[in-house]
Amino acid sequence: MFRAILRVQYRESRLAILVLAGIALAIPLVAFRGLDLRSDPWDAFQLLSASGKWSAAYPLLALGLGLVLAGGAWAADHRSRHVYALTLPVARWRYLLLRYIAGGILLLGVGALVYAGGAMALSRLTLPPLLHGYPGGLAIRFCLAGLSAYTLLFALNGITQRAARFLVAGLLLLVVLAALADLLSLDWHPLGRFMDAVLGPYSPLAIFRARWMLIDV
Amino acid sequence: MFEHLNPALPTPLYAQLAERLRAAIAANDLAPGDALPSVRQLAGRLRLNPGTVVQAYRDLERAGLVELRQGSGTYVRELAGERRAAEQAAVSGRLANEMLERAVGLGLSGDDLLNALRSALRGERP
Amino acid sequence: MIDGMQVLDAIQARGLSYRVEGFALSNFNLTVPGGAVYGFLGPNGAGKTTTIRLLLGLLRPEGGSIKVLGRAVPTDVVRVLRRVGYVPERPHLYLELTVAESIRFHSAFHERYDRAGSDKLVSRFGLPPDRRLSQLSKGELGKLMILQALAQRPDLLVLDEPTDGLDPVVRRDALATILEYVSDTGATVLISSHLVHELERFCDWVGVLDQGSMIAELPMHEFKSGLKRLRVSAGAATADAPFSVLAREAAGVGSEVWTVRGWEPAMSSWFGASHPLKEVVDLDLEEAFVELLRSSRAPVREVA
Repeated sequence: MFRAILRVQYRESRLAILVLAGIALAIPLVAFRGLDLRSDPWDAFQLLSASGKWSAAYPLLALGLGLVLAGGAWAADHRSRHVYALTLPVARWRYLLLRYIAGGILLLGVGALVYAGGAMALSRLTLPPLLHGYPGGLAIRFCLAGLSAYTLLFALNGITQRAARFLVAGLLLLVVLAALADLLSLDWHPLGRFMDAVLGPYSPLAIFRARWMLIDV
Repeated sequence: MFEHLNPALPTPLYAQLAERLRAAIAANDLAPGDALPSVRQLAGRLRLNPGTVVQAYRDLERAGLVELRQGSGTYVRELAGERRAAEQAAVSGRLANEMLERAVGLGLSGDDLLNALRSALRGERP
Repeated sequence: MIDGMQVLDAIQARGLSYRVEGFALSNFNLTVPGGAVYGFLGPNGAGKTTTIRLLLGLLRPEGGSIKVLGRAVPTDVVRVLRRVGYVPERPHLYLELTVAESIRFHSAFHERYDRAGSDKLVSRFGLPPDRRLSQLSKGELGKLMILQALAQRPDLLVLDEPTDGLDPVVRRDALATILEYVSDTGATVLISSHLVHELERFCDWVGVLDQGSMIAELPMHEFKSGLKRLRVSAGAATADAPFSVLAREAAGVGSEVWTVRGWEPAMSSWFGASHPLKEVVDLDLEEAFVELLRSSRAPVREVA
């Protein structure tokens, strides 16, 4: 049963997954190309700078992948109005769990490619002293960020129409209150507080703000 | 042989089917030893409830015209000459009754029907 | 019904109530005997699809109980769905998959799935295995849904307007395959349709739904034999008739035609010599269905 769902889910977003995976593999290879490395102290600066330049790509990639996989997990069922899934002899919660895990596995697969790409690029370079490569760390961060985004988007994709309406209404209310507070010059910033909570240090999405350097000190 | 089974007629479908088969057996279109189509095949081909086919076959078995061999199928039995003639007579008799009933329903008399039948036999068209 | 053996009802709905905009079921009962080929009839919009959805646990009833193959729905619905093959009105399969992929997916969820039989049907129906479902014609998609439902080897087949919109050749093919399966396995079939004449040949039970209630549920031969048109001489009284008169119309000089329900041949003796019974005319299933609907919606109509 699980393999069937995995197969179907991969098929659904096959193209997007392959494109994102290709990019994940290519970034480290492209990042350090064309650097004029002469084994002098200037190398360290070049490597750090190149790493930093490309570091922003990874969280975006993770977010994109989370989006694609969450969409892919639900697309077929939304299209068929869930009739097929509801008439298969498997409990609803179990079916959803299998779908979720299938997407998670695909995500981890791309994470493995992030590691592979990083490791490959590093194998071609000689790092000066004081600098280290973190292909594993990068891949782990990628997987965690991807999983957080995927989990959140998977849940959002699965809520009923009624619940969706509540959510949107709640958000709009928040925006309206923030505008009012601003207008009346109140010392209250609900929108800021909300954003801090979502991306703040205690939120799983905080990982998107971490350092994404393949080569670092 | 099996065309025009008509569910709209008052005669139940199994009886219509059985009648066709009896006529075929009497006319030797289905010879002794021939196998009748399986219930599955006939039900599918004619889009009938399998129970209908089973009932028709049972009717024929009760009339001594076929035998149901377990696991093998339904086969036409040997018919003695007089038996065959009697069957044909019975088929004709039932056909005649049907025609007579319909004629009466249309307000015609037995004689009307008889005259019409005679002209038809002579090849005269209405 | 196997002689002498008590057969479990395949479907038993009691006191069902459900309300949605434009449609309401109240105190609704339905019984499908085991092994029956049950024709679920009703005009368009009568609520057949909604009822079927309730029976399969796709919708939750507001009241009443449902038992399918001996188990409660929706409580035990997963166990039930293992043994039920469902062909809905609108295509429900994942359209992005190819024919082969769809079959593979379906078989992964059904233990008893018959791969060999499924492959045979694929070639018999002429379905190209590598074509996407979204590119199949309506008839081909319909055949695939029936194929998958049958290959599951279900004990109960639920078909919601399975032949609607299909051309006659495809219809015959589909029905033939379904009836072969029923012959092989003795499975129960619930088939809903507004194409009444098509069901006439093979249904042995009939349930008629109109405006949210079941107006008749009985064996097919009783349904058809009980409804008749009687040609009688004009002026006969209907007051204490042993049958119920649904309608009466004048028909030529000195004659009337009555549409009656609950007729038995012995009742011809009720007609005395003064107002003789001239003829008993059979109604085919379509006519019987129409008369039943008319009479349940309006009181006896008299046409002078």
